[in-house]
This record gives sequence, C-alpha cells and structure tokens, in this order.
Amino acid sequence: MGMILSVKDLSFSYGARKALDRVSFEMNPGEILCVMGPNGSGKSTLIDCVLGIHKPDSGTLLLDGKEVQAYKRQEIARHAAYVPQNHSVTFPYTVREAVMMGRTAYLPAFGAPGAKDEQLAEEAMDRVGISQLADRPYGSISGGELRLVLLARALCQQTPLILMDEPTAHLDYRNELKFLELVSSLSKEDGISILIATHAPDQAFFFESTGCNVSALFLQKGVVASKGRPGEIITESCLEGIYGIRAKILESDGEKTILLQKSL
Amino acid sequence: MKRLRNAIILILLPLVFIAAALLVGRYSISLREIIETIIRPSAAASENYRVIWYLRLPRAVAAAMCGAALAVSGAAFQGVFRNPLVNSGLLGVSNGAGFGACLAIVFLGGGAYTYILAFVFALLAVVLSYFSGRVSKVTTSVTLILGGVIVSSFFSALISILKFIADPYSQLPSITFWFMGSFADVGYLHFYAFLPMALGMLLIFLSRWRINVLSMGDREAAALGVDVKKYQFLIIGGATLATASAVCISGTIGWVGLVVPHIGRMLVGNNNVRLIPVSMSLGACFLTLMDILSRCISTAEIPIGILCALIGTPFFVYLLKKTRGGGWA
Amino acid sequence: MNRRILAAILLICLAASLLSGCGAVAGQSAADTITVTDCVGRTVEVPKDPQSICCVCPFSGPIIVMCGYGDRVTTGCNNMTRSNLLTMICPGIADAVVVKSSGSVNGEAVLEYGTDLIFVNDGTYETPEERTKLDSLGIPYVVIGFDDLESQLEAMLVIGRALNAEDKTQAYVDWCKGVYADVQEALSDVQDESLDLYHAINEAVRTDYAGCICDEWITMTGVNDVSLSTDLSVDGGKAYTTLEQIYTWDPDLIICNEAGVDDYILSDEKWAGLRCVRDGAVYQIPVGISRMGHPSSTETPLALMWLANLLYPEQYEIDYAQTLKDYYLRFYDFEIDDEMTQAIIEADEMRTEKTTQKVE
Repeated sequence: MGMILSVKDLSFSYGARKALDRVSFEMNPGEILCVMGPNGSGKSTLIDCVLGIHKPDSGTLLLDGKEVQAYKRQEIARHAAYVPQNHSVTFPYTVREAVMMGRTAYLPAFGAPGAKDEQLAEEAMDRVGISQLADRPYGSISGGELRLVLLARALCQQTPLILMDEPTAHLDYRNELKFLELVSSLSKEDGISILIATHAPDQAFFFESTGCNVSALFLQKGVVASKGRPGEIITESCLEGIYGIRAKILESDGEKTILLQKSL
Repeated sequence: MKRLRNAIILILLPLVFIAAALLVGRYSISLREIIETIIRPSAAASENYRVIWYLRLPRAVAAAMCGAALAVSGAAFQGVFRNPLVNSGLLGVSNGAGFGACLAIVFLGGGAYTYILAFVFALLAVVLSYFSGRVSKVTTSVTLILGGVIVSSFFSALISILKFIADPYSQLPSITFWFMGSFADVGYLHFYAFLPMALGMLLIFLSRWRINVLSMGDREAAALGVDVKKYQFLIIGGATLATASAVCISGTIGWVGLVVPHIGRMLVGNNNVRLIPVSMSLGACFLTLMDILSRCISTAEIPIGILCALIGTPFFVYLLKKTRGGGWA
Repeated sequence: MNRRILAAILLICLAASLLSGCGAVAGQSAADTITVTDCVGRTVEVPKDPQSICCVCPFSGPIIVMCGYGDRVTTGCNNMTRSNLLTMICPGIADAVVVKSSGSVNGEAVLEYGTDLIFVNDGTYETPEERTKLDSLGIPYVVIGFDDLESQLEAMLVIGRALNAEDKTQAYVDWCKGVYADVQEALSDVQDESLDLYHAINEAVRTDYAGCICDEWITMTGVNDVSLSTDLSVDGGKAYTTLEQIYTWDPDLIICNEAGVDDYILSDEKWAGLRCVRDGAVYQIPVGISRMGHPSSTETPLALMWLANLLYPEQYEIDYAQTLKDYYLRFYDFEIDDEMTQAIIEADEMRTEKTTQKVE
C-alpha cells in the first residue's frame, strides 16, 4: 500500500505572511499524526491545504498518490473527510440528516441521498454510538454529542483519511476521553488514517499507550520543528523551545503525561 | 409509494386553490355555469367567459406561480446564506425591480416597459451586490449579504428620487400601487414571465440537497465535496430569476419569501429535500388564497401585501406555538 | 476674537437684508389692498394689482387666466401647465416654475420670484407643516376649496374677488348655473332611471362615490350612475372598484374623462365580455382646458351639455362644436378653429405628459 498523504516542501502564505514554510511529512494507512504547535503555527492552514481549500504556493501535496489540486472538489471529499473545530448550528437538522451530509461526495450533480445512503448514515451513527439521537435536532444536543455527530458525518464519507482540527476543544474530561478512544479504535480496527491538530501533547501519549501507529509533528511559525514518535520527540526541552514553558514529563504505568509548571 | 403520494398532494393542493379562485368573486355565476364555461368556453355567455377565463384564471395562476417562486427563493436564500431571517429580496432584487418599474413609469409611460425594466434591474441589483461584496477577488457569504444591503439601500434611495420627481396625480399613485403588490393587472401576456420563473425554481429544486450542505458553512461544504462557488451561483441565480419574475408580475411581496419557508419548516422540518417542494406548494396556496380574499373582501381591491402580513402573521404565531418552534426553541 | 466680531457683523448684515427685503414687500402691498374672505373663512388682505402670482391650486389656474392675470403667474404646480389649450390661450402660464411637488411647496422658490399673492388648495393648507410654511412666508395667500358644485362656483367668485375681477367670475358663474338649470329643465320629462352609466375617472377602475361632484352633474341627466349604489372604499377623495364589480353592475354605457382610457377599455380582452363594450357604448368625455367634469375641472357645464346631448339628442338638441367655440370666445377671448374643436371633442393631445393608468 502506498502513502495516504505525502507532503513535500509545502509552502503557503496569506499575502506577505508566510503560514507554511517547506513542510514535509508522510502518512501511512491507519496512522495517526498529531500535529502540534502554538496558536498561529499553521495547523489549520495545513488542513486547508490538504482539503484543497488553499492552493499551495509551492511544493507537492499528494493525496492517495495524486496531486490534491488535480482532483475535483467531490473527489477530494472521497479521499479526505474533515471534523471542524467550531461548528455553528443555523438550521436544526435532525442528527440523521446532519450525518447524511457526509454522503454528498457520492451523489450525482443534482441528486439527493437515497435509502442506501440512509443505511450508511445509520451504520456511522452506530459506530460512534449516537443511534439513539438520530431523530433529535442536532442543535439541541450537548457539545460532546455534537462532536460525535461531526465524526459520524466524516465516517459517512468513507474516506481513508480524516482530518480533525482540535476536535476535543471545549469537551469535558469524559467526553474528551471517549472521543480519543473512538479515534484510536478507528485507526486500529478500521485502518483509517487520522491527522489530528491538537494543543495537547498528552493526546499523542494517549494514542501511543493504546498501541496505535502514531507520530507527532511540531509546527513552529509554519516550519516543522521536529517530527517522530511522540515518546521520542515530546521532551521537556522541546516543550520549552516551542511553547516557551517549563514542564515536567511524568510516567506512570507506562503512560506519559505532562505536568505544567511555569510560563517563561 | 409514500413519496409518490406526498408529491401528488403537493401538486394537487395549489390546483385546488386555483379551482376555488375560479368559483368566487364579486360577479356571481352559478356553479353549473362555471363548469360549463370551463368545459365549453365557446358556448358560454360572453360575460361568464371573460370573467372566468380573463379575469379569474390568469390571476389565480399568476398568484400561485409567484407564491411558489417567492417562497422557494426565500427558503433557498435562507439556506445558502445560513440566515433564517433573510427573504428573497436580500440581494437587492426587490428594490432593483422597484427602481426599474419606477423608471419605466416616470420616463417611459409605464406599460410593458415596467416589466422589462423591473426584471433587468432586479438582475442588475444582484450582480452589483456580488461585485460590491467582492473583497480581494473572493465574495464570501457575509460580504455578499453586506453588498446586498448596500445595493438595496442604494436603489431605495434612487426610488425615493424618482418618487420625488414623479407626477403626484398620475405617476405617484402607480408607483405606490406597484410597491403594495397586486395581481389586478395580470393577463395572459404576463405568462411569459413564467419561463424564467420556472427555470429558476427548477434550478433550486434540483440543487435542494446541496442547500443543506451549503448551510453548514462554505468551508465545511467544500470539505463535504460541494463546489461552493458553482452551487451558490446556481442557487442564487435560480432564486434571482424566480424572484425577479415574480416581482415583475405582482410588485413586491416580501412577507411570503420570509415566512412561508418557516411555516414549511414547522410542518416538515429543516431538510431542504422536503422543505423546497413544500415551500413551493405552500407559497402557491397561500398567495392564491390571499388573492381570493383581496378580490372578495371589499368592492375595491385590498393590496395583497397588506393582506399577507395581516392574515399570515396570526397564522404564523399560531403555528409557532403549536409546533413549539419546530426545533428552533 | 476678531473672527467672532466678523461673524457677528455678517449675521447682523444678513438679518438686516432679510428684514429689509420683507419690509419692502409689506410696504408695497400695504399701499393698495383689497380684503377678501377665502374658502376656509380666513380674511386676507391682498394687493389690488398683484405683480407676481404663485398658483399651487390646479383649479385656480384657468380662472386666473379668465380674470386676465395669467401672465402674472410666475410659479405654480405641474398639473396647471399640462393643458395645451390653456398655454395656447395664455402662453405666459407655460413658463411658470413648478414649486410644488408631492404636496409640498418650496417656500424659498416662492420668495425668489417676488411673489405677492398665493392661491393654494385646501388640501395643502390643511397640512399643518405646509400651513406653518405658508404663514412664515409673509405673503398673503388665498385658500381655494370646495366639496360640491355649489361651493365650487363660490370658489370661482373668491378667486375673482381676490383679483379684483369679480364681474368676470360672476358672469361665468351665472352662465354655469344657467346651463345646470337648462339641462335639468330640458330633461325633466325623460328622467330615465333605467339607463345605467359607469364613469371612469382618470383610470379605468377609478369611479364616482355618493356625494362627489361627478355624482352631482351626472345625475342631473337622470341616469343611474352605477357606482353610487355600492359602498366603495374612498381614499383621499379617490374611489376604486374592480372589473368584476363592473361586470356585476353591467352598465349600459361607460364614459371616461381621460384620453385613451376608452380605447383601452374597447380593446382589452378582459373588458371584452361587458355588454356595453360589445355594443361599443364606451365614450370619451371632451377635454378642453381641463378634463371636463373631473372633480377639479372648471368646465363641468360643458361635460353636462355633452352628456345630455349624447344621451337625449332629441330632448336636448345643441350644436356642441359651436357651443365650444362660443364658450372660449366669450370667457377667454380666444378663437378655436374647427380642427381644435374636433381635438377637444375627441380629447386628442389636449394634455402633455401622457399619464400612466392603473388598469385592469
């Protein structure tokens, strides 16, 4: 099997401001890649480039072996799905309808989803455990449940790659953990590659401890600062260099965690 | 099977209202005579023939078509712009059309020019909105709405100027009357406007699932595989064609485009796959009914825009209470 | 400090010039004035020989011309100058500057033309803002208004008095009264209540309501004016009906006061089902200086004579063309040729700026 995502010397700028500078990395099928870095380091821009929303200034970005910009909009959506960081609800569609939107990538130009698509939506809801919410308006469920709806929608797209932009922001401990467990099992059992932009290096440790094929990548001002196995690259000196903080990495029962101490 | 049944109901319902419109009016004709006039027009009394075929039928059909067009454009705009408070006049269509009509009334003596200029300026207003809202080579939904608001107020200022220079005894009443909306003038010649109107409605109907997806936001819609620009163009273009044609026939009736889609949402939910056809059917029924009332309540015609707001609002509040907001609250 | 003094001096100069300006006007008019009571009962001191008249009352225009003051009208409203015949009789009135639009009078423009007498209609006077404006101008103004034929004749006399030409208006009013009496006298035997008539005012579906001026003169002929039988919604003195209602009335004939409306009714497919339209019984009321018989027309007797002659040519036999010629010669000292007479009867191109109609 080839690479799901292969990024080489990718650069992108908003006008004069360079957001990504010669970024290179690769992702294998079933691999989780935790992209980390301070605010404004280019994480979301990277996701936009992979989704084909931004056109890179230079470099190559191969999705399933083909340049992203050479795909049609609908084809990209058959290769990569997206779980957004913020989602504002305007019309209270039912959860089922919201999940079914993931099927758009497979519909003809003027089509609407049919029975088969509804079946796939049911399966996706079942997979993330929200079947009981199917007929509820998706505007009146909790933030944790909404995150799961968006994940089910991405699963409905049946893509080998899912991009997540800080999916656990605003979630409480239990909901965060449930979500991470789900991501871990999608990677291990379903072989889905997941690129996850996150603020919490702890999450990379979590995936590592649950036996996922996980890598970490630090972005700093659009440049790849370091990449590798979480256990190897997430170090106290690295956190100091990138985030400007003093922190201790503790280990208990083979699982690592970060103890924040002081901002420098 | 169930879908087929629903489709038949949605098509039949407006036809029932159009049929009802043929039956009632100030000029009394017996039911038997009406049926005879419809079946064998050539054998009917001249008065009956003209009243049914030239007075009642064209305006009932026009009211139904305009109602459908305004409601469906409103629903489409609300979806595409992710804003439940907008109506089809959002991008300046109404004021653009109004300006075109005023221009024709003041400088060209009205007549057919009124419709032609109203249509042309309605389209022009949307194009202007698009370019006013263009910031660094892209037009986002928010800047497009801003552009629409600005262009709308620009045209409304131009309308005020025309009103100011219009002859207060002959032209001003025509202008005022045009803005209140009426089907009183409708004849078979107006049916040409059904062509762009039907084309616009068809575009929206075909793209109805995409409206759902576009209402998720430009970025998410793109990630879900929708070519945002292309479908925005199709849907906004369709809504503009439909609204501009409707406004040309009936003047501006803003209420229908804003509220009928919401009544539809309370009845069948937010999914545009169902909401779009339901809005069309409801809009057609609603406006036909309002036109019947406007013809029958008094000896003079009550402007339909006033009736819509007067009767539609209590109905809307009733539905709001009954359905507990339909998922909004 | 210097600036303030300068500003104060400028202000004083400005105020002084304004005051002296007003004083001059007042002084002039005080020299030789007449006192008149206008249509709303106000007592007004007006100059005996006004030099610059503002006429923002379309009804007054022809009467002012009749009194010989047409050339003194410097400012007016646009409806007054629309009559081709009036501007032919008195070319000066065509040059009057329009200072009233959408019911509002431009006070500064009135001042600019050195106006020393204003004729204003009661509708404008009854608007509080407009009244305040008129009062502040410091120019004598005469309010003209009426709500039936009798007070309409009285209004003509008021205009005559204000222009010191009451003999002319009195002669005209006497003539009008004579015509009204003659027609009723001549038709006293027929009084044919069975003839149904529909009167279209300006627009095809605007018509008469009970108590309006058109009601008065049309019923003098004894016909049944169909729209009087129904409660019509009257808005600002205008009553509208619907075509279906006209089908219900099923009139024997239709008369229209606006040029072109008869052609419209006769040619439109929606009207084609009416019995009187099939019979071709749709008639155009002649248009002279005004649309005869219109609520604000000064030529209503001419409309009445025309209608009486149209309906009952035997009982009321006149040479209408000659009547018109005599009329304009007598009251306006203006000779109309045969061509013009025909144009008046056919209402052909008598008014500029073709109006748009609300049609059905």
